[in-house]
Amino acid sequence: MRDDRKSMIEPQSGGRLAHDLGGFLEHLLCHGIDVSISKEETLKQPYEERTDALLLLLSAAGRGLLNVHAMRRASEQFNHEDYLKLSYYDRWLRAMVALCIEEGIFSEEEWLVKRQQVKRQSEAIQRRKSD
Amino acid sequence: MTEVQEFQIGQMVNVKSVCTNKHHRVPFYLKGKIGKVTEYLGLVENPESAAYSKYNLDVYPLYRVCFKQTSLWGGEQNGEIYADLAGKWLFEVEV
Amino acid sequence: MPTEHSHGHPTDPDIDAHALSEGQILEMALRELLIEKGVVTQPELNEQMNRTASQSASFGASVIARAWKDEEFKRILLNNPKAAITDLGYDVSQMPDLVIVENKSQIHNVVVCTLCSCYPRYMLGPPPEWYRSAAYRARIVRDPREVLLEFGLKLPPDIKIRVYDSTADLRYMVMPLCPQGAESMPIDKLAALVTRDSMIGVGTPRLL
Repeated sequence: MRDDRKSMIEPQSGGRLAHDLGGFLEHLLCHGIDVSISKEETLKQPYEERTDALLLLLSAAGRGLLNVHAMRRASEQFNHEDYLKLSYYDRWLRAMVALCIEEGIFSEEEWLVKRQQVKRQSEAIQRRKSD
Repeated sequence: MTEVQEFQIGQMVNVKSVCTNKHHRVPFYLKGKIGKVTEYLGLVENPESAAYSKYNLDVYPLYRVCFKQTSLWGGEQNGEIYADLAGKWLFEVEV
Repeated sequence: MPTEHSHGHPTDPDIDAHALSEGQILEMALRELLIEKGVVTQPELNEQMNRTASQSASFGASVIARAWKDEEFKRILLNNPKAAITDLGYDVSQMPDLVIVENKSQIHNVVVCTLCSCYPRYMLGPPPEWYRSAAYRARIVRDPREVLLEFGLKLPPDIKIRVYDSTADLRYMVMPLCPQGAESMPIDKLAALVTRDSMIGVGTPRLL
């Protein structure tokens, strides 16, 4: 993966990357983020629970596949808008995919083929359901 | 890179005001700010290199630094923030 | 959950009549590819999910309650949390290092990770959504007293608030003060007072 984060430091952010949120209230407000803290706790969706497990397995100490520092680095490669718009697990999914490709665990082509295949499967099931 | 304790407990330090798009663990809001070293936390895995290769296994000295709310954003007198920062991001302040 | 389109097809639990979300597609594709490549196995994933499901704040609460009752244990716990927890018979050797910060009558501690969402999961279970939210991460370092008020915790102005920003690979949790009048209660009753939020620092234990 190219480290092309230079482009991700936006001029108005004064050199701050998207994940670096401490103190930046105005920044959230100008991205239309509600700054009140919602204490409501919803159950995780099944896919989020599985993402959580993948994340922990891949970054587990001693596995040597994707260390926690590389995982964090990959999760920081978002522009401000995407970082704030995407959910926590959706960010981590993108980060894991990028890192797996970078580490050669699978190739970008393999990834695109697989993603397309899953997409088609789900569309097929939907069609069956709405018959 | 130095791998020994460079700062003493109680010493005032300034956080380097450097912006980089490389992975590092120094929040923007502490950059350029002055705090007091409260603890030496020993040598820890250096995330700045480990983030780019699992074969980079160097370490760096880590310090706990206390910042007054007043020195960060004119916050209240009775508030402090503690953060764990690498020695390479700190430099001595003349007091 | 039966829907009007349900004709008894065997289905993935996630798939209903709606299109899969982008996140669901990414997860399914990533998981299938990692399993095909032999990087992870389904049993490993199941085991990990079980591990996560077994972690909860009640473990942290039991450790805090014990410290309230046992000065010597408390001393060791604050000094070397993992060693103290190991002494209780738990294997935490693979877990990240832990720091427990003790509330005092004049000092209230609260924990955040402004750069990501580091959290002592093995003590407190998975983090609540608000802990990972942009709002909490942005605001607690800047206006802690106001944020704590939003959590229903009104601290007198003479109480100092210390915010711990978990910037390195140390996980932080708070040892709250034992509520006055509770000191003589047995450990299990005390543990029931120690909420997850009080160990993050956005609440305090209260007598029920």
